[in-house]
Amino acid sequence: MDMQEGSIKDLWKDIYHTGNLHYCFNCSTCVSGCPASHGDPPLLVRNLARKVILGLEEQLLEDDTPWACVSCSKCEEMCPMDVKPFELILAIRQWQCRNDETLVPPAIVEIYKRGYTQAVGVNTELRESLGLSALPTITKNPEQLELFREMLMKTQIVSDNDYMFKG
Amino acid sequence: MAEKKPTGMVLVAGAGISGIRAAIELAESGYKVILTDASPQMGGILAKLDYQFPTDHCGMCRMLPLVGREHASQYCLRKSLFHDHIEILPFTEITAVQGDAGNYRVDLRKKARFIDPAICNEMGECLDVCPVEVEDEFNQGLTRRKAVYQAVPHNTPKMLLIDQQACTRCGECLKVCPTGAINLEAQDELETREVHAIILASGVKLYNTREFEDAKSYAVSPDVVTSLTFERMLSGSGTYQGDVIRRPSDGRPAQKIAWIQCMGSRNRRQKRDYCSSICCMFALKETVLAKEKGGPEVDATIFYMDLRTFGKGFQQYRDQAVEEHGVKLIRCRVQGVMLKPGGSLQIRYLDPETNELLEKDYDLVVLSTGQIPFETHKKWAELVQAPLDERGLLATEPASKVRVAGNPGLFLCGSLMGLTDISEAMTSGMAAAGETTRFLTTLGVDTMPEEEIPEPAAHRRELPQVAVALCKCGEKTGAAGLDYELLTAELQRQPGVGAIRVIDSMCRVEGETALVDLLGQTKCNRLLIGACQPFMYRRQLKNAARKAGFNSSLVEIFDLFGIARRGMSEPSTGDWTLRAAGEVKADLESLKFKPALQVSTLPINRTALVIGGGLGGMQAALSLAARGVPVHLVEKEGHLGGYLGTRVEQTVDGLNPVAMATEMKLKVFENKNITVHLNCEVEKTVGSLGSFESKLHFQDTGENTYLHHGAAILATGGHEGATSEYGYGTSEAVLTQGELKKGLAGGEIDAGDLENVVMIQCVGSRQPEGRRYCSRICCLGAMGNALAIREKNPGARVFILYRDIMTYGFYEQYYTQARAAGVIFMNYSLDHKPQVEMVQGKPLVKFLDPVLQEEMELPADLVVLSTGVDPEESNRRLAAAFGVSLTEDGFLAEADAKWRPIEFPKVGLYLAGTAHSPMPLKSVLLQAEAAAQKAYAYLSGREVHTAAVTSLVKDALCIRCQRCVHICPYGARAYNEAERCIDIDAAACQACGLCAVECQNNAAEVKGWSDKQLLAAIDAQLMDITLASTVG
Repeated sequence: MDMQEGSIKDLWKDIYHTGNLHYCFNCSTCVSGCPASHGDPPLLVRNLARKVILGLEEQLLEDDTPWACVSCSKCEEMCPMDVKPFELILAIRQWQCRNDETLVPPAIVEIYKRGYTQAVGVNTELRESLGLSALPTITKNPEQLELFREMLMKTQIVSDNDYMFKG
Repeated sequence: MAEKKPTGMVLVAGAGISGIRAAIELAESGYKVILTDASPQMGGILAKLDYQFPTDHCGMCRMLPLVGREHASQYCLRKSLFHDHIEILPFTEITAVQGDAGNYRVDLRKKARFIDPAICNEMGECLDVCPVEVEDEFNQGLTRRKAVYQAVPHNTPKMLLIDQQACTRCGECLKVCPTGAINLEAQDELETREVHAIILASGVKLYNTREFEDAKSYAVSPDVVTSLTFERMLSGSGTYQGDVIRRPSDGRPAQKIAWIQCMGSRNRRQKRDYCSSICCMFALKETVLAKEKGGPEVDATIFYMDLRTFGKGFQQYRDQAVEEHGVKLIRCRVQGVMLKPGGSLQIRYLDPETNELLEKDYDLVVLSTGQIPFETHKKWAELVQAPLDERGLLATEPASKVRVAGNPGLFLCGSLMGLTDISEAMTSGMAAAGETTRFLTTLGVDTMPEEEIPEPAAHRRELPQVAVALCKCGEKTGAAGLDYELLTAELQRQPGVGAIRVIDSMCRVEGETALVDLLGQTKCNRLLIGACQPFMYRRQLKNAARKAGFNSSLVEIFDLFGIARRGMSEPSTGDWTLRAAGEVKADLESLKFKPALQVSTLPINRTALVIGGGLGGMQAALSLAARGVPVHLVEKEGHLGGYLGTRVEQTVDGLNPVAMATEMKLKVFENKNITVHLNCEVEKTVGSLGSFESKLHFQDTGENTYLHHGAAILATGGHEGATSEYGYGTSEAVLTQGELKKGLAGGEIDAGDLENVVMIQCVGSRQPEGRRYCSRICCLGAMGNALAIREKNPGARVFILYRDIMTYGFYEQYYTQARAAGVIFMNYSLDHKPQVEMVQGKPLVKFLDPVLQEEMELPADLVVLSTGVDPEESNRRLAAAFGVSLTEDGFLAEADAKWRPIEFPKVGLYLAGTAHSPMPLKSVLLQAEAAAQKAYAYLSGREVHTAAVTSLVKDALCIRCQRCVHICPYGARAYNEAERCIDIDAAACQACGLCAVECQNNAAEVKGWSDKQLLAAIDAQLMDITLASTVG
């Protein structure tokens, strides 16, 4: 890609203006333990940080992965450079919304459909072997999922874009 | 009558390897040393390490003195050290320091051991009955020990002690102790000592998994261990049983092993934004050892961020580990380790090749845990009232790593400078000792008097008559199984035995007196002593014999209790005694044929020759001149200053080499002890320690001069490498880091004009063709230039394309600073190097961003190349002139990469600075101080003695094949063209005996180890066997 044309020098100031970001040395700690990195496409926090630093505005606007974050804070706890990756993800989400008022984050569609942003309830074998009970996922309670959907429909972003959720 | 000056006295706090190095160095310079250690044993961390890179075995003994060997023990240094001038106080803490430089009063607390080592017979009855078991810290908790214990299993003497915390005061040990050595009421002893200077060498703490904040993420099972614990798992004195590496949890073989780097280091969140320097090489060494000890099928993987192979030979070792041993390197810092059902350890990582997330199971995980220095530094700062710097470390003078700021009598070395490898620990120990002797010479204190007891001559023609003294060891060990009457009767029958006496405790005054009495009464001319632990008492007993008029080389001491008992599990008194008698007979026969030997005094020309007028060379010259040593300083250019001192005005760590060079030049020219020779090179050097002669050739006039000197330091430096890569030479926009630095400083390059700058690291370095090594300073140079550009022009974008960022140790802060300032770092690999194309006269840089896996293109105003450091071409001529070797890369080859980093194999010749390998200025100055100290120890004006035991040539048998010259590892043998004979450098010879083995004509021999003696010893043993079989 052409860095001269395709990147905005100080984009990071618009997105995540704490200065923490620059300490990132791409070590991959944030990614290696991230539950959302199991997704498809995976959430790769390290790559988001790189895109912000390089100022790749177009790529960042189109990137849905920040919405896959499950807010577990593992990256925040373990980042050796104290970049605060979770805050970076929130900042990117806010920036995306500021830049596109019509944006419907894909995570909301996922939540409407599945009740979660992520595939929850995997690793059943591992849970079993460790003597943990199965997760009480909402898919086991269709009535409650229906109530949850009704509730979501009452929010503005969903009702304004109801064509994306129904059918 | 003039008042007698006091003897210079130095406290070295910490008996790890850097402290030992400093202590030996000071002792060799004639000063008295008190060497303390807070732990019960010497050796520090190295006591736990059996194998050291690059040789993968131990080499600690290489620290022992090479000249004046009679003053120190000459055996395994991991067992213990004895030196006439060093008082060793283990298990001793420093509780207060008062006074000023030159006049310190130090309060010491000698912690109670509860077992008196002077009385203990070390048979270990107490060990058998002690009911208390705790984790053995020597083996990092892998094994257990009793409350009565030996701190290091290979220590000799054993120095048993009782762990105060663990001991329940049950008193079982008291009941069985045959010697009354145990006192459970013992108290710590307090003592105040006066010293002139102090060297801090305590090292710093290393993490263990329990203290580690991230333990819950990583240390999830006993099979996750630290690198130090892993070391114990590979050791015979640890848990290694000679077959496979076993998991601590279940003893199953560990086939798949992962190392995780930077645990607790390079971590801004934990306020430890530094690198621990040594862990990368430590891990690489452990992977190679794991393959050797666990078998080739062991799968070894290192998870790393930057593999810091910055030192001499490091990169080659890495390449070997990967190519020959199949070690896998994965660039990813992982978030934790997961314990899976069944006990395997899962690591999830982002594969840097494919950007895919992968999960892999391991049997064992090794955490490369680093240093935690702040606590130790704070403690010292309070004790010695020294300032801490902004990082919380003891502040040192700006250009020195060892001189504590604002306190001329206080120095530090070893890992207090930041975790150091063995080589830098050695160098810093020598440099700290050097700075100390410099300080002591300004104080006007004296050195130790020369030898008090002269060596008596021996009459060659007398028939050998041997007096035998057998120690009864306070009736304890001896009484436990040796029949002295039988032994005496057996030996009495031997021809040549003049007298036999059983003496009690020869290690004590009464015993020594009895020994001297015996010698006075007999007409014997040789003495054979049977006692315990000969290595401990050899010096003392030989001195006693000398006082009684015996030449000490005719005194032999053998281990009466150890050797005879070897291999006999429960010997009967009679068997044991006869076995002992057999062995004594061999010693007896050998001693009968032993010649009397004398140490000789070397003629010493006190002048030093320093080659290279750069900052390192000038530092070495000034350091020696300050101690009154005359110096010839030789420079091949027409001016002093070297590469740095004439070009670089600012380094990233805040030094101004040009200003330093200007100041040093003035001092050099003003100093009446220094003679400067410009425009000349040394063409040939002959001679040995104390009397070298060098032929100096002046390029400008074509004239030759001959210089006489006692030692030489080679400090020839290096220069920025050349390249033709990346369009260098085709455009002014492509330049080297050195050219950029000069351009920015001189104003030819205005940072304000720059929009995009791309720096490419490792140009022509760390690859099979070109420089194979890391030049160590280029990353720092790039950080400095990048920061300078960003500071002047925050709008400029600076990219640094790198392979591994080598900001080791506390230099890591400059990497962090550069990133914080907005410099963008992109990793590249050798098979995907950046491309530079010229588009309309402007460079277009194409490179792969490995994070986004995207090809990038950027038109750059400047492409800056880090072209590394090349050695001086003149090194080749210099090496030939001095008869020393070069490395394959063209640097000068030291005697031993780890233990003798600034010495050549031949004693009296030293090297310093970039002539050794590329290094930052502070390290150059450190090596210069160290080399100056090595030379000073022999040029101080004190008498220098060779050892009594050296090799010789029987000229009549010698056919001048020179095989001995080539095989000698110390450069002690040379062929004398003029006299057509083999010359032996008695100072350099270490009596290793290789020449004697190599010589086909028995012309080479080690004094006191002649064939005649050895055959006589063997005959004596065989005679016993023959007799036994005849009778039987």
